Amino acid sequence: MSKPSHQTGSLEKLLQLKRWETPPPEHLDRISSRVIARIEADQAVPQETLWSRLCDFLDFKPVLACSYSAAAMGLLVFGLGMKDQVKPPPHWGQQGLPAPSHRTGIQLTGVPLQTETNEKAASFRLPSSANLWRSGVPVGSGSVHRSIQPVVQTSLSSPMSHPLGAPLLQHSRPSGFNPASSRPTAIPARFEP
Amino acid sequence: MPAATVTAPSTTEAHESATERPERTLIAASREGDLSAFDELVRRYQSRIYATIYHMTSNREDADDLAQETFLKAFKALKSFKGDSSFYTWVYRIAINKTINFLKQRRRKSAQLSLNEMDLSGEGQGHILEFISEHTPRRDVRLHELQAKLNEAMQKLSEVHRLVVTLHDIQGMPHEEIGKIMDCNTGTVRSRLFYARQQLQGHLSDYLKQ
Repeated sequence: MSKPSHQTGSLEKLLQLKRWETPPPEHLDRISSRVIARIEADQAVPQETLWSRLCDFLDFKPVLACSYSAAAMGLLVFGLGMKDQVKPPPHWGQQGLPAPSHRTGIQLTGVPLQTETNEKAASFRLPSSANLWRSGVPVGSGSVHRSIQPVVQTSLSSPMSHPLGAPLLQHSRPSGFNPASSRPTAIPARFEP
Repeated sequence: MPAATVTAPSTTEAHESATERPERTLIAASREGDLSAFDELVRRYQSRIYATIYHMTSNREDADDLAQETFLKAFKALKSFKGDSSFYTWVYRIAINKTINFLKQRRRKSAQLSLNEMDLSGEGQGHILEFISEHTPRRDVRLHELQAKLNEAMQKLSEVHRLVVTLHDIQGMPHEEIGKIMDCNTGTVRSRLFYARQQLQGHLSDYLKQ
């Protein structure tokens, strides 16, 4: 039992001997003097900006600078050429959905369809929260309708505020609408002024 | 046999005497670019920093370079020093991180001895002679050979275990201080120290037999 503890003591003493493995004092003085000299050297060198370093780099490699400038000019010419070819749609920027606000109202006018599919048209029960209008008359909540022709009227103000109830924007039934379906399909918005 | 109470030559280095400027004053002046104040800080801690790096690397040139890099980084990062820990602990962390990164990059096994360059004057010589005459298992073993084996065994330890042995057994640092430097609790320090000593005893078993 005493052997390991004695070995530990010997090891500790052996390790403590390493404390005297110190360099001569003048060697340590050189460390501090070199540290200060390196700090002074770092401070003497002016801090180069990114632009100056880029200029130095390009001055060092003029071929690379010419190739960069040629590529930039080519991109500029290509962009100018594409600008004349690409034209915006005819109604670009003239129409658009009004900004959503609490005063915006959407009026749906339900018109019975005169086709055979009308006989098989699905019925819609409007939810109580739906703010729908048929021909200027509010549709009662919970009422059952066989079909609703999706004529969408959108106005910036409340529909009731319009003197004649005439729609400001109205679009006809889109081709993608299938009244026979039990679930109304998504109606693409196409507005006509 | 009572354990020899050995005091490292550099342990009193950090103590501020009445004539020395306080550490806070030196730090504040160094932040303002006063190089003489930073030079005083470097001189105050360079011996211990150098010794720690040297015992970790067992290479004098590497210890030189790493010590300089440590103080250079400390000067550049001095503005980020918030004073949560002592400046001494903060610089020690920088030195240890740099040393461990260096050792991971370059796994050197060249245990360059410096016993012939030891300061054998004064107190150190007496302890060495006492150790040789009383505890050397084989009388004919040379001190250089024993120290070579010790350095070789040290290099076989992992970086963290070598660091714990260096800070505690060689430099006499308390567990709490080592825990602050290594950012771990004292229990971890003690367990690492126990494991490292076991490893060293295994490597030096032929030389530590009675």
